[in-house]
Amino acid sequence: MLAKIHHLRSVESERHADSSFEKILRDHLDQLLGSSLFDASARSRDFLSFVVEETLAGRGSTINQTAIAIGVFGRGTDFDPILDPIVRVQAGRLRRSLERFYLLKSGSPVRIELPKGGYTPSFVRDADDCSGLMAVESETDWPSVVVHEFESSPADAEACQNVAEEIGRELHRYGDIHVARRSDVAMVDVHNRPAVRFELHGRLHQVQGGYCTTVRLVDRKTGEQLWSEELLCGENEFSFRNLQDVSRVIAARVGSEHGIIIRTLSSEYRARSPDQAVGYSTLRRCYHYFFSFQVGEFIPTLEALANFVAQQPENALAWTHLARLYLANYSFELSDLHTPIERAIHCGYQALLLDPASPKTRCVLATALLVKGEIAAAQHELSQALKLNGQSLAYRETIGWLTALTGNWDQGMVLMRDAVSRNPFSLAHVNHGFWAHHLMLGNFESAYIAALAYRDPSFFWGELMKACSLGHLGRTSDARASVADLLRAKPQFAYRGSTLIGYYIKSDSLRQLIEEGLRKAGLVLNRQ
Amino acid sequence: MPDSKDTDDPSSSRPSGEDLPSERYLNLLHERFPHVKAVMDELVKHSPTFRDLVDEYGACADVLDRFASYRSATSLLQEYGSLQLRLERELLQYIQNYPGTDDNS
Repeated sequence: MLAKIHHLRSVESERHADSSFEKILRDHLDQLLGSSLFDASARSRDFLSFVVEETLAGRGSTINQTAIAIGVFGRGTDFDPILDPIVRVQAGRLRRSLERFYLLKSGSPVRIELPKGGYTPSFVRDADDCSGLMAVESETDWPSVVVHEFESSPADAEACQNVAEEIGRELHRYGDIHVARRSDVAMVDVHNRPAVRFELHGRLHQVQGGYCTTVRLVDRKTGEQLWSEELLCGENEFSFRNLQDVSRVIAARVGSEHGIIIRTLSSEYRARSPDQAVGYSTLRRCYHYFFSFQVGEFIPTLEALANFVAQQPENALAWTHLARLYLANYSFELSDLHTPIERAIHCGYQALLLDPASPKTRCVLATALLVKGEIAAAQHELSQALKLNGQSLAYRETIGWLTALTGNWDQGMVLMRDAVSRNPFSLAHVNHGFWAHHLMLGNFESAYIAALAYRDPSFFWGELMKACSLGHLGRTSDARASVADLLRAKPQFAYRGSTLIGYYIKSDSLRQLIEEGLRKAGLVLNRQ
Repeated sequence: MPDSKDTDDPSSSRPSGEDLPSERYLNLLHERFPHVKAVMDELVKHSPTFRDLVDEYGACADVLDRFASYRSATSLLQEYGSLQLRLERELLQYIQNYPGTDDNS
């Protein structure tokens, strides 16, 4: 695919030659200052007007903190920017307000920026006005995100193209949202263009020893900027190893099941009868359940999804989520509904037939097989997932976690540690894996820290992990409090605990360690 | 266009993302919002924007400390007090949007 690189063209050098530009810029400034999307304070607005007017008057080179302090903030000629950092602080706020405005207001003919490190604004003209190309999707449409070509200097165009392509590939691996490249959408006939709810914009520029990538996710339905971040990569002290990892982390933050888009859609979900949940809204309901874990929602969600699968048996993602619901019901004993683990495995295989390349499906299937005790089959699915998406951060941590639980602790820990070191947005269950590993090694303090970091409010595992670790540490009072929380979450735990633990912990010695920790915490599990 | 870099701007004197904000500033925020300490520590490592926010918050705190006992500085204190509150709101919004934050999980 040939991607069209989307550049911003600096027009400062053309300013004097183009007399109409000044008018365009002033009109734009008026529009910006009058817009409700520009959330700056009155002082910030004065700040912006001042630096723009000074620059248009040819005095851009003389703008400094003192000039702004006197011209905007009412300071005297004795202004000292060290004692009174008002300009520096307000400049930061103004930069963020401008960034937010341009995220929400697509299609501006010109953009005013206040580059970091100085106070002279730069004026850039957007070379590709893309407003109004696509309708905003309805609630029943499958959610779509358009990945715009990242902005860059021509020297970084290739790096930019690679970033956008990697984000597109990684988003596709998640499978939860539809993804399109902006350049591809533009090729589609205007009447057939897909409805798009979300837009991902980005910029990339070189910094000392690496790159800085800025990304912004915008909800076209509400105009809200859902996420904005700067990610640095390069050698030495930078956060990420390379641009590939940056791309994968962006994709994870945006498009994973725990990412911003699914969270946004889930939070919009309003309970309705299963009959009313059609199309994508059924899956939205499912995501909502996995975020909220409202007990009363489980059966209606399961019924809605089962209906959806009956209507659309070719939908692999729906089968996968149905497998997850059956799996959760079985392994966490969520309801009285009898759903044997084989049902989850069946749905998982159905999904796999439809989409054999889906790492999500293979992970869900592997979990169900693990719970059933089919260790070799679970390991096979995990190795397939790893082969198919070896370097993807999308499921690396999950594959690592499950690999460890199947007994291959060395490989599992390597994968988990690698995933966590490369992706700050890792999921809670990684800490479950770390906790179990520390426990095995007798590192109870580290196990407790991992238990605290396990911030999954669902079910009972978090309290179990804390109670067990505290029991081993001899912190009896805290341990008993955690046991009380555990029993609040799962009143039958004393009777069902051994079975519930055994679904995920296959090692006899580890299970004994867990039960011993709980015993020291004051909870004796009844063997059945 | 001629560049008008202000060398007295701390954020301009370092390559973006290389230095962490003053530990003192971060400690201030830890004390102010202990329930999100871990998230703030993560964000400081990974987010240049968050680091800027911490710097700006700390700069306001310094001014408020420095002029707290000056009667003649009432309007300055009000200005920075109000600015610091706005920055707190921005910081909390930023924290809220970070994955794994309790309110957001």
